[in-house]
Amino acid sequence: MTSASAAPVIEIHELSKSYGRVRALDKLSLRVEGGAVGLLGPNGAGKTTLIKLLLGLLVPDSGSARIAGADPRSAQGRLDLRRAVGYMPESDCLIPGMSAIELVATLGELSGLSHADAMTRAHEVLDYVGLDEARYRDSEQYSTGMKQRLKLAQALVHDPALLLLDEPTNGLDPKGRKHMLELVADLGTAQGKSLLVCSHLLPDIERTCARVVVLKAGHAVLEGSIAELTHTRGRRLRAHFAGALEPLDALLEQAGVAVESRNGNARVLVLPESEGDADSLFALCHRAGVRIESLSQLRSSLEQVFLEGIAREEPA
Amino acid sequence: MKASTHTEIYRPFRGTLAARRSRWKPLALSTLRGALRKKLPLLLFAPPAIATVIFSFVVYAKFALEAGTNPLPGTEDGRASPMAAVGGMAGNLIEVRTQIIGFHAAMDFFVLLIVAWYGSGLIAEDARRKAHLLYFARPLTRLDYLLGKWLPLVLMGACGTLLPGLVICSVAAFASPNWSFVTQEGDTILKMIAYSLVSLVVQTSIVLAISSLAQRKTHALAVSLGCFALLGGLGSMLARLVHEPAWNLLSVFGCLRRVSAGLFDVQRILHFRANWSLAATWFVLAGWVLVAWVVLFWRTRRLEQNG
Repeated sequence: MTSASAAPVIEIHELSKSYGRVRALDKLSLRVEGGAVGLLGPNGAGKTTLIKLLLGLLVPDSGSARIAGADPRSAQGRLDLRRAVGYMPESDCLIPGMSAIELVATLGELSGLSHADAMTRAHEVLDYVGLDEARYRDSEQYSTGMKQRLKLAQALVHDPALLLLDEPTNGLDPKGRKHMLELVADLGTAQGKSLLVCSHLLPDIERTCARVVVLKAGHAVLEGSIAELTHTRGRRLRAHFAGALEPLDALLEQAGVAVESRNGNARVLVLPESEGDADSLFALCHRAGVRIESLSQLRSSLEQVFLEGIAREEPA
Repeated sequence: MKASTHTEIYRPFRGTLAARRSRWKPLALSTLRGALRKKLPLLLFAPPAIATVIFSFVVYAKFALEAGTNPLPGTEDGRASPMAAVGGMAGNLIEVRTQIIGFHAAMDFFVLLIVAWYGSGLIAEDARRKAHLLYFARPLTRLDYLLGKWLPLVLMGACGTLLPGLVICSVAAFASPNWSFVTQEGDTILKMIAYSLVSLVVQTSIVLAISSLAQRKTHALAVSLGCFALLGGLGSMLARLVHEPAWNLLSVFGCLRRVSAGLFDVQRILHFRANWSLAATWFVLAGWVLVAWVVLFWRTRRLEQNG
């Protein structure tokens, strides 16, 4: 996440936060320069704590953070950053007795919109998230999917440049999840919003974000662009062979090439780290009398990267 | 069914966000709308409304009797009668000031009911439902948040005390010959407003502070009513047991009655003798309000900065 040229949207320096004896964040340093960034981690990794610290909804024990150019530790900084940031909380925090339109318009006014603008914006964003006539109903009667979309709408009402989305697909059925992911992906790409999407669901992050930060026990154990992270483990190859494969399997094992999966004459192979290209594989095939019909390089899935990341030892 | 022309597109906002404006206003309006949405609790306003009609009639009757006219047209033919003589005497005995003092003393409990019912959930339910996350993710200061909760509560309480008082004073002003009530007893209006505001500030501050400490509306409601009743009972009991009226300082209502007696310069409110130190009473009430607002700021700070 580092690039000296662009101004960072989020900059965190050795941020720590504890709840009693539990260390939620431990000297976390990050630099996020915009675009869609996924914050991945198992439950209790410190994702929600980080988002609340960024918004000034929690006070850090030590360290500093700047978000949208403002310091959440100062009162003025909090007001400034909250003007520029939209927050979709994880919890079911809607106000009972209020219709969606009323809730979104009120929160728009609290963000600094005039009454007329707030009403217009409320209708626009509720349209955008697909809450049609339901916008006039008490939000307490909403399904989980509608509540999630309403929470997204209230985060968007003042058209912030940066959105902090905490578990946006939480509790959604497949259809609702698909819709929510489409909205988030659209915001990050077509609408040019900077997103920090917090989730423990890898496919959600893979689908909506270009970059990822993996948190574990309050540390960032992995960060970078998803394309790069999955590409660096690019010695995974899918090969289709012609001929008897038993001798080849034996040779592959001797050469330290792992066979990840077998499907007829197809194999997914993982070449050793030292292999710069697939020349050795061609040599082995030649020795085994097997012909390679097709060969393609596979990316590691984000899941694999994630599992490797969190399996690493905690930094000292 | 969605129209075929319907497209979910994102429209960027072209206007500007106000850098600084009174953000408590939309919150206050939203609080008011939320409070008035349920109709049944509006019955709490019925006793003050009925009392306003009765006290207004008594005040009107006083001036009508003083002027020698029949306050109930159609019941007599207007000729001089023994009733008219009695009425004249009654007119001289009835004082608007006394009526207002009596009204406030009689309505204090109902005002507390209104304030407790509407105020108990204002902060407790926000915290329980985590709605504060939505509020404090906006450029909303803690003071804005508190004003957005407190002012609607004051307004609703005012409907039970200040508004009826103003109605009674208005009736007196219009019914009095040559605006004599305004010219001769104009200070009664100001004193009524002052007492109502003191009563409202004290009651709403305490109830809202209890709401900020409670986890649920029902808890806050029970504690609010219990707090006023317990302190009132304790103060009254100790004052009687040790024959020391200053023990009434424990009671919020006792203190308010002492303030009323001091403002309107009377010794008794209904049958309640209010003769202990007025300065000490002001000190105690100021203490209640100060403690309540310290609690409110402390709890609101926790709401904002402890997620």
